Formats: sequence, structure tokens, C-alpha cells
Amino acid sequence: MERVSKPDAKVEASDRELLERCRAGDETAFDDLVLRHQQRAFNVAFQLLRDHEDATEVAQDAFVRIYRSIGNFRGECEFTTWLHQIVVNLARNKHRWWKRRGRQAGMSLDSTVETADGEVSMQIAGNTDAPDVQAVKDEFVELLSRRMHELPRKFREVLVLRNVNNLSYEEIAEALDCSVGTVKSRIARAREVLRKSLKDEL
Amino acid sequence: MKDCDHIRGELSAYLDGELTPPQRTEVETHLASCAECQRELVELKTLVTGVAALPKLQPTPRFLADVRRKIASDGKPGALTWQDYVFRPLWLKIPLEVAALIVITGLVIRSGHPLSAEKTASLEFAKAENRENLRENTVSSGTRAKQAIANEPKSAVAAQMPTAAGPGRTPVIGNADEVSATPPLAPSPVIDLVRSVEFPRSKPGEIVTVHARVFDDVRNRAQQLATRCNGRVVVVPQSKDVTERTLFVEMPREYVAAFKLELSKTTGPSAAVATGGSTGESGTASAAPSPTGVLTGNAPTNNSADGLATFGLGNDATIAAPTTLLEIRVVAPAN
Repeated sequence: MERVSKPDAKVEASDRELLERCRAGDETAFDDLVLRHQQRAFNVAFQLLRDHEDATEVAQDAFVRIYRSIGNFRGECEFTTWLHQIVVNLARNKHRWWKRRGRQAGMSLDSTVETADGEVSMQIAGNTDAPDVQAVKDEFVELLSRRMHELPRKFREVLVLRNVNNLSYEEIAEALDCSVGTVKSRIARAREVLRKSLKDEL
Repeated sequence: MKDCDHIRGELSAYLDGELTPPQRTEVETHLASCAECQRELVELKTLVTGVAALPKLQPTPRFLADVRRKIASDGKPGALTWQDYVFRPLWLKIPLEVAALIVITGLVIRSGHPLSAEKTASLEFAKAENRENLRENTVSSGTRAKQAIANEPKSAVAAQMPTAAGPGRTPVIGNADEVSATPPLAPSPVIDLVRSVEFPRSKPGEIVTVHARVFDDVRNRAQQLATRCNGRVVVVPQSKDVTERTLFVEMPREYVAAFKLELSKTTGPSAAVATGGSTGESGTASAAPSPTGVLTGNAPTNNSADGLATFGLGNDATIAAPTTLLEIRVVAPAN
């Protein structure tokens, strides 16, 4: 199978450029970084937490942390890897926080979200299928999303980073601070468990 | 089949394009001849496609504004938090802080322990002596004074000579023989020179309360000790009728603890007290020569902002800084 496309060199250079400008005190450069990567950060957080409010908070806090630590970032990895690393860590903390309080996180994709502007439906990007096709897809995706969330945290993290955000095994290893071999076996195992749970359902 | 198990373990990475060329060739060769593994690959592909198709949600339109608001309430870019100041870099600051803590704890224990231990011992010793003194109350004061001179070890007299107080010196007053040479339960010629000494925890090193019958005896003893630690005694004029009188001792800070310890150990006659022969209730002044700068009974009238000048230790004071002004309250017992 063809390798999932990665961000090209131009974009990565651009991230670095924005970081440099940000370090030099250019506040708009930081805004550009947020606008460029907010959806990526939010979706990873959402797939890990399945809660709109928590995911928003985690993604925003990740950018706040980046803003504070820009001076310490030495560029050993890509900006996106760094961002994922922070989002995953914050999501883990949030997950533990809820676990201690006995809340079972989880939310349907077609549920509504309480915002300052009132209750609104969650917006899904790029939804262009015909209504009947979309309904079947939605059902499958909803089931898949639920089963994903039932996976152990370690399996869920690798699948989200790999299939939702298209990170390479090496980037996932950096983001999760483990070896590429661990990532490879963990992804294979996670898919196996997920496949079995879906088979039971269907 | 063993070969199939091995290949199926690689299918996930194969789909992700994460196999090396030889591994990929191995998998493709096997797939070409194994329908089971081909089915397995199709199922896996469906699953991967499904996960990849999970909807991408749009974050709230206020995302950036909220990030900015959080930053505004938290700090500047790269601004260091208190954790950064205290702990980072961890490899450097944590070991240094642990070492400093150990050193400080050691110093505190070292400076605090001997004082409390010896204080307890000396107070017990003082109580025993008081009991002995009460039994011998019929002996005249003059006789006691002579005994005192005879009992006083020569080493103690030698130790009373003024010594230069260098800042690096160990703050020890006198000789250890001074205490040990006196038999613990021997009849003391001085009755209740110092009954007990309190060191209030609230203001350590500044106020000492001495329970003694004769103020002058305490003053003389303090004067002796002060001379030996390069300090001086200041007495503010007070009525002799009051049950509590105060004297001040100014000395280098490093000698304060040793001074208090020695004062608490005072159970027998010092040379000065013996010479003065003051053991009675009236308690007249000692004959010991006053060290330079010691004022007794003369309070200056100027109201200088300098606290020391108020007590007559003005500009001509020769004590090396840093010094401490120790307030000694002499409380006469009710009986």
C-alpha cells in the first residue's frame, strides 16, 4: 500500500520559520502556527478523549505550553511531533483525572455541544457523500469510533496518531517516547483487537 | 501454518509502508500464493481505511482567541515559571538543593543540639547544688568567698583572660576544665547565683531570663564572660527595689550561644564574684575591672536613632561587626 502522505518539506520549513519568528517576538507567527495546527491537535485530543470540551481544553493548553516553551525547543524533531507529544501527554493526564473521579468519558459523534453561543451540532469537516451513503458510513464510523475508544489507552494512542493524523512509525515513537519496534507491534496488536471486537458486533 | 503466522504479523506494517524492501518482498511473495493471507489483508485494509475515515472535527471558532486569553493570564513567551526558577535544569538544581538541605540540616543540628543537651545537664546540676547550698546556709559569706578562691582552678582563671575574637574562631569561652574541675555536688560558696536560665524560643539569641537573687552577681559573671568573648556589658540605671532588672551584653554574634551556655552553667563563684565577696541579699558590686567601654549605672541622655548609642555604646565602640545585643533579664525569686 502506498505510504500515507506526509507534510512536505515546504510546510515543515515553514513551521520552523514561524517558530523562529515567534522566538524573535513576532506574535502573529504564533497565531499562524495555532491556526495551521489547531484542527490536528483538537482531533487527536478528541479521538483520545471522546469529549468535545476536554479535547478543546487539551488542544488549547498544548498551544499555551508550546508558547511558553518556545525558547527551549531545540528543533530535534518536527513541530508536529512536538505538538502531538504534548497533546498525548495532556490527554493522558485528563484521562487519569476523569478516571480518578469515576467518569466514563465518551460522546457520540452526532451529539450536540454546549458552547457560549448555545447548543450546536458538532461540525464535521469534509462531509460530501449522498445522504443514504452517508448514513451507512456514519453508522460504521460511529461503531468504529466507539470500539476505538474501548481499546486500551496504548492501543488507542498509536491508532489515532497513525490513522487519524498520518504520522510515521518513527514520528509516533518520538511522540510517545518509545522505540519504533514497540510502535510497530503495538499498532499490529491494536488493529487485531479492534478487528475482533468489530467482528463480534457485526 | 508457521509461515502464515509470521506474514500476518507483518501485514499491518506492510499496509503502513513501514517494512524494509526485503521484508516487503517476502510478504508480497507469500501473498501471491496464499489466499488466506490475502483475505486477511483485505479485512485489515478495510479496518485501516475505516479508522482513517473517522471524521475530522472542526475546533471551536474561538480556539485561537481562547489560546490567547489563556496565554495572557499565564505569561510571556518562554517566560519562566517558579518551577523553572526553582528546579530547572533538574540535573543541576536538584542535586545542589539536596546538598544544601543536608548542609543546613547539619548546621542546625550541630548548633542546636549541644546547647539543649548541655543546658539540661547544667540545670540539673544547678538544682543539685541549690539543695546543697540550702543545707549549708549557716556558713558565713566571707568563708564561702575564701573557699571559692581556693576551689577555683587556675586554668579557669587563665581562661578568663581576654582573647581576640577572630571571625573564624570556634566560639568557646574559657576552658572545659573550668566546669569539670568543680565537683558536681561539692558545697558551693555562693547561694543561688543563678537559679535557672531560660532561652525563649520566640526570640532566640536576644533575650535571656536569669533567675537569681543578686543582680550584681549576675552582672559580674556576665561581665567576665563578655570580656572573654570580646563583648561588653551595659547596665541601664534601674531601681534596686524592682524584682526584675535588665542588663545588656553586646558581643560578636558567633559567641552568643556559647555565652548563654556558660551563663547557664554558672553555679559556683567566679573569680570576680569571689573577690567582691558578694553573696548576700544586698549584693554589692564586684571588684573585677571593667573592660573598655563597659558602662555601669550611667545611661546617656541623648536619644540617638542607634539603639546601642542609647545605652552608651556610641561611636567609640570597638567591637567588630556583626554583633548581637543580648538582653539579660535578672529576676529575683519571690522567697
